[in-house]
Amino acid sequence: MFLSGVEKRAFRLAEISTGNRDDALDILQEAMCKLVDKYASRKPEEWGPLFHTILQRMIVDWYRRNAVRERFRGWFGRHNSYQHVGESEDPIQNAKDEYGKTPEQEMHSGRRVAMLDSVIRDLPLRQQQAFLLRTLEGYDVKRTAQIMKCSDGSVKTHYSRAVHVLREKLGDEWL
Amino acid sequence: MTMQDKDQQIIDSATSELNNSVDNISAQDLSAITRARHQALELAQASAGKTKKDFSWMFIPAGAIVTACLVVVVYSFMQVTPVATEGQSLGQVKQAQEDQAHEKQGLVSTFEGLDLYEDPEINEELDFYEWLDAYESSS
Repeated sequence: MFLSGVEKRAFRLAEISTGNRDDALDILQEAMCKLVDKYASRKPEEWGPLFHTILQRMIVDWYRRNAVRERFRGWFGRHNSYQHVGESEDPIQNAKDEYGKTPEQEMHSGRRVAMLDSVIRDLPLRQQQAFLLRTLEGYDVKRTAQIMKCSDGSVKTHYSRAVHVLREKLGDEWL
Repeated sequence: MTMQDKDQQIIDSATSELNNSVDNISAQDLSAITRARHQALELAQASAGKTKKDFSWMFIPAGAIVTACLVVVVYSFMQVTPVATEGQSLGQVKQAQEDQAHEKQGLVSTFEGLDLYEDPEINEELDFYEWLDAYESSS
């Protein structure tokens, strides 16, 4: 089944973009609903780009809503309560099941991923989209442009800038 | 090491880390993802069923409209063609048909007459032909 094949990567993509597990699950479910409801009759080879177009639109909507919410919070003088994944939950429940790794390896790996997630999340949205669709989903420039509804040149520019920022922020130590 | 090499190294490492993070999604998250998929499929099926019901409901007025149109068409045909009914012989029917034909002809000729004799140019032409006949016969 198509959905079970793409759901894990799509979840990670939404989770990195939003920084919130529950919001990522909501976005994923809504995107799945829309695909099944509106585009099930399309050719199976079109489902991937269609699904990611829907997913990206939902993430953009989430950013818009979040920006409005943050503005209201700013007006009422509250602190930014933007939470990263699992910060508010029980750390034991959120611990990853990485059987076979030493605690040091596990911690090192977890820290590397957390750093990467954080730097990607801080990228401008278009750079983030280009980078995740190219690296995590493995789409070529043409498909990425189709999903992002922009030109091939724009995708190349966004991607190149994203890589530049990652190199600057992560540094040689991360490599 | 050039910038391009460094960029490629970053891309490779990031791709590898992201792939690992997908493989290492916690059991709790995996179960939530599966649940989300099932819910999405159920919702989609429910909405598809609702749409089908709506369509079936719409067949009733559509059928009524088609039937009404058929009745109107059949009735208009019955008005034009006289049909032998009970107590009417075939001769009477034929007579009725002929009467109807005469009536139609009369109407046509009346209309033709109206057209013909109200046209001033044609009237002038007819006067000319009458004058020509009179001239030829006198000479």
